[in-house]
Amino acid sequence: MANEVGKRYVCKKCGAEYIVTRGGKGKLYCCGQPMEIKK
Amino acid sequence: MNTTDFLSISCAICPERTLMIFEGQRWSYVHTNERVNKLADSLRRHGVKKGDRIAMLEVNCNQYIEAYFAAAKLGAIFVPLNFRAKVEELFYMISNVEAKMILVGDRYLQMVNGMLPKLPSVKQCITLGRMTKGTLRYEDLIEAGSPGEITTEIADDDITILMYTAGTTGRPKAVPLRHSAFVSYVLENVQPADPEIEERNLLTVPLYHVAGIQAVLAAVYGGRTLVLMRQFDTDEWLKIVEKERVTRAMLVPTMLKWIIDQPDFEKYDLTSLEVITYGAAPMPYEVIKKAIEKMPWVKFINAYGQTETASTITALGPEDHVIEGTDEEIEKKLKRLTRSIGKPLPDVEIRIADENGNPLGPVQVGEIWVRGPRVMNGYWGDEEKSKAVLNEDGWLRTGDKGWMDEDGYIYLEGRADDIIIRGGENISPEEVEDVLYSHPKIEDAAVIGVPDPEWGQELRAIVVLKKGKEATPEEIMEYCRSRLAGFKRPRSVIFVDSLPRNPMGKVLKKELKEKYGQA
Repeated sequence: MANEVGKRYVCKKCGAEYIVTRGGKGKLYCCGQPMEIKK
Repeated sequence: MNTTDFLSISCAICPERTLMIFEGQRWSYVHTNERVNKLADSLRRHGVKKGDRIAMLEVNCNQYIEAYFAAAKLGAIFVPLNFRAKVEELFYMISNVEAKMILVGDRYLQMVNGMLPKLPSVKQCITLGRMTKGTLRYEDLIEAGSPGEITTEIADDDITILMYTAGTTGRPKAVPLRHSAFVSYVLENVQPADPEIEERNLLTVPLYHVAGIQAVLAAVYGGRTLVLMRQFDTDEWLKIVEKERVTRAMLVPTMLKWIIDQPDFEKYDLTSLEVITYGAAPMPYEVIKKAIEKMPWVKFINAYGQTETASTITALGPEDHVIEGTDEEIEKKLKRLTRSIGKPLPDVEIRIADENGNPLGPVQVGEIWVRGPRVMNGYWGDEEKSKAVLNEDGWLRTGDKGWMDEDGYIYLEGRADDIIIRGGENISPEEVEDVLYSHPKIEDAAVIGVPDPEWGQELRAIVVLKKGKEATPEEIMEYCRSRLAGFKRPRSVIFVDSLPRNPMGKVLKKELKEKYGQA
């Protein structure tokens, strides 16, 4: 799934959080697994 | 990360959203950023370097926020000045930090020009309005500057602001506020900008106060719109909330009181308001109770902090302003609403300590100490005063007395300086003042200690009666008799037309003690 501007992603493994400041087509990965959108 | 990132992140997420609304004009995030870059570029061409101090003397306006970010992008240190300060005090504040530049509003230009010959550090004066001889004009600097991004090497613990705090004795002290302090605050307590969520913050707290700066930085990081007022005015506030559909406001207790006491209050549609944060001075229970009754849809937050802690360190949240539940819960909540400043924020450590710094247990009254990434590491150029408040483990003594309950809620017992000691008993003036506020004839009140040969000190109430009301000292003292323990009752009452307060609404007890504190 593409990443969108303003969306926050969290790594379920290490807890790191990312905020997207420029959207793109790629998927976000951390600790070897896809990141999830923070709810 | 540093505070300039707050602006660039929000510019990326919501570039076209309005960042500032001021006197009919609007500036988007991307437009503001462009103005900031241009100003920074011009300042740099005029010799501003990293670490230079840039002072500002003006009421709140869009230029204030732009100037702050321009200074920050250059790694310079912004020094907001109290526009109510007297000439001697301003001279001291500017010379103490050796300001290199000063940005001045038209109203203050004559005063500043008079000082400049004696301020060798100031190389340039910039006027925010009209051009005068020997000065540069703010808008000309913006026009001449390049809009390209400015990149400066900024360390997390670099100082971004030197903010003066008024002491109760002696001269104001300059508190170095670091980027890391504000970054810590927003990352733990503020939701970053969201393209789908729009909020409007009404800013009335002056930007020379840490609460004002914190509100701006939180709003920018949060991608919110800042609605600016030059200075607080009750009618204007009500009109603006209605017109701009303001969602958040920060008020000092005096402002909230004026708002809810406004005769036309019911005329205004304030339903857009979601959150009102209050602080900077103790909130009388009668005022917050009335505010909750008049605006039951609003979430209230009591925020406690100091300049030395880069603003808020504890908060009494919205859920603690909703008085419902079992009888036991209601009683607890009423107690908290009357005196609690809530619980520490996530990035803050708090301890209640005795005179020797030993931690005290629940319910024991001591001094509130604080530690964490937001605490300053010393006053600018004043090692002696720094040592008096900071210990070697990084704990800061706030100077406020308080205690913690078993649930971790902190309660204020007043300034250590203001505590009255009568016959060996410590009395917090705030407790007595709360009782006085509840009197139907009293508009405003303060309590001070006066020397007494038998008890050491006795309590004196300084009272402002409501318009058209009359009362005798005996009547006031009798009212207190049924509501306070014997040793806490005022033994004398003086009626005055008004209490001296600073712009943030804090009663100037020092002045009251000088005027009315003789036996």
